[in-house]
Amino acid sequence: MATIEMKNIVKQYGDGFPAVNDISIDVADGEFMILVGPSGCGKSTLLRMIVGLEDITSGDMVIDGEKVNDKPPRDRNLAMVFQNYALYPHLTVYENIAFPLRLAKMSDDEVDKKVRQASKTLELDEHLQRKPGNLSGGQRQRVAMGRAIVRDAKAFLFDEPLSNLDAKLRGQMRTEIARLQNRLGITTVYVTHDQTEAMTLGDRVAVLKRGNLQQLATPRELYDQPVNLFVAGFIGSPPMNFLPATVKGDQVEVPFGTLTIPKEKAEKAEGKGLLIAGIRPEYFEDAKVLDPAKVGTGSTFNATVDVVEWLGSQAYGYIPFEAPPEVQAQLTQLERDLDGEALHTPSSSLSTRPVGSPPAMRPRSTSTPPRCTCSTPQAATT
Amino acid sequence: MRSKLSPGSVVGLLVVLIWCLLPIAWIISLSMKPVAETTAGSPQFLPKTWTIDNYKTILKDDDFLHALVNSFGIGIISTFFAVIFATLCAYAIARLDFKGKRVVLSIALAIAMFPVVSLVGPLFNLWRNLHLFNTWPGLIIPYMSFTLPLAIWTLSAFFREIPWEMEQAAQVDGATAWQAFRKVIVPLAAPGVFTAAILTFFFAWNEFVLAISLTSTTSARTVPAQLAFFVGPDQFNPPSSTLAAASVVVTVPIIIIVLLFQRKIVAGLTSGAVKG
Repeated sequence: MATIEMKNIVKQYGDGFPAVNDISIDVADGEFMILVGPSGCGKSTLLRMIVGLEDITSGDMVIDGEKVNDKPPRDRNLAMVFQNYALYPHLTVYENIAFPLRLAKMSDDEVDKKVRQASKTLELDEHLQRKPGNLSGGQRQRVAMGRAIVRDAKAFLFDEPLSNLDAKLRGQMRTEIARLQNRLGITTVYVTHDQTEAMTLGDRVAVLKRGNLQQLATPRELYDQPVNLFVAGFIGSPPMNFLPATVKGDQVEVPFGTLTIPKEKAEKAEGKGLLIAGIRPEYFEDAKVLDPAKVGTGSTFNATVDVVEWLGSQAYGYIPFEAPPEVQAQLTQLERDLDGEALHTPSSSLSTRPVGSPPAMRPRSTSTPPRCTCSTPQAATT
Repeated sequence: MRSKLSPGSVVGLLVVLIWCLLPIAWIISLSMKPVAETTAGSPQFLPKTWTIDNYKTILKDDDFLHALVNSFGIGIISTFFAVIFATLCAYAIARLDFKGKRVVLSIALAIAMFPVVSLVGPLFNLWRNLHLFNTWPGLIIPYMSFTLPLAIWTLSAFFREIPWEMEQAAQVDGATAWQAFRKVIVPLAAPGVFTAAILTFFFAWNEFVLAISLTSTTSARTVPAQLAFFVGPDQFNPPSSTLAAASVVVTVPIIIIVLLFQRKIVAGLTSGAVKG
């Protein structure tokens, strides 16, 4: 159990490229902290600096009130689960889990007790005498976690632990990790590029982009109040829609019609010219199937849905639209930053849900202000 | 993969097998012939009278037994040290980025390519001055230097295959660099270590030029050199059958060692370490 404080951490490689640029994050005792971002954002580097596998160019890494910059990994007493598990193939599952204990020169009785306890927690009892090569992906994953929980480490570090599993198993293991962390209550830093993992697991989430910290907040805050377009586009699935918008009075003009927004929001955006409106897909409803009482609370518009993705409990509709060139350029850049994964076809289509047969959509504005991210092409002005 | 062999490939395999095994079968049959029969010239493949006298003769020969001990001793010691040095060296080459890494590797390769004969003269003089002539170290040192390059190349290839994460995981688990090397890296590179060991031992066991040039008595002479001194009762007729028996005796340990180590040289030992 420990706190981890990162103070102005910088990592520069030989060619001067800052992989991690002046990041400060405090992880509280027992907190589940997520580092999330597209590939190449420096999240793994940051994790490796915490554990000591990567040198720190400048800044302080403080674990449990003690500066550990120059300490080798073995003296930091942290447990890490690697992306590819890094199990020792020549040892049995039992010896794999026992490895850190053997290094700590524990007595055989004590080793046995702890290994059994860990294997029971992770339901590995029947596999103890097998070699990692004969295990399935999920089992290997659990062995890797066993090796982490078996010793009384100050914190757990996970480096994209689920990215090698198939989608179904990933969901199961995600729940398992959450349960485990809940029960053990141990400080955890978890690196992922998957925003679902970030949202579901984390107490707090740090969103990184190209070595810079974008926002550090609870999942709910990230979703409801993203500080910039990058965070807004990264968090949420399907991702937030970005539409070119112009504000006139309390009216917002978007490609398919005009919406009404609250006065105080409109004042901030008044006269700023062309803006980008960010509207989450769930704020669009199919007017035909919506409770008539609610229809009046929003604005209604007509548009053509060109693709519908039906997922059982919900359906995604995609509405194509044209964006002016200046917005287009920014959205293309944003898509590049987001790795092209998060947004389907961001600049030319709008995703909504749920969708019925007639393509009549209306952004619904409830009594609370609509959660739109309005920003000028240069800076966010939520 | 378990498909039936076509008649064509069966014939082909048989041809290759016969081609390879015929000399061995012949030397075994020769070793079973009485000395008198080979002296008289014996064109037939199988002995007219089977005997194991030749084996009795050479196993009673003190010089041969001495040579056998020398061969084992020198072979094992040079293998042991060559493998240790090669392991450490190959690990450094695989893991560290230092200036002159390529130079080290190319020089090592150049040494392996050097013709042994060209070194015999200088070594002979040098060893005499250093009092290493006709001693075990006098052979162990050149054997090691000739086998190290190959061992280093083999092992560094193996080390490169081992994922970095293995070692990092060990370090996070609380291992020092040495512990990580000994408990994780070396066991994983075991196939490479055994390959290197076999190659080194073969070289030391079979080497002839240095063995005959740098020794003068049976105190250090190894078996291949000793066989050249085999005269037999009649010096005008080489004792072919006795020599054949000696050759068989010398080959047996090699076959046993290969069979023993072969099981250790299993590829894919690292499977299961990482995903995939």
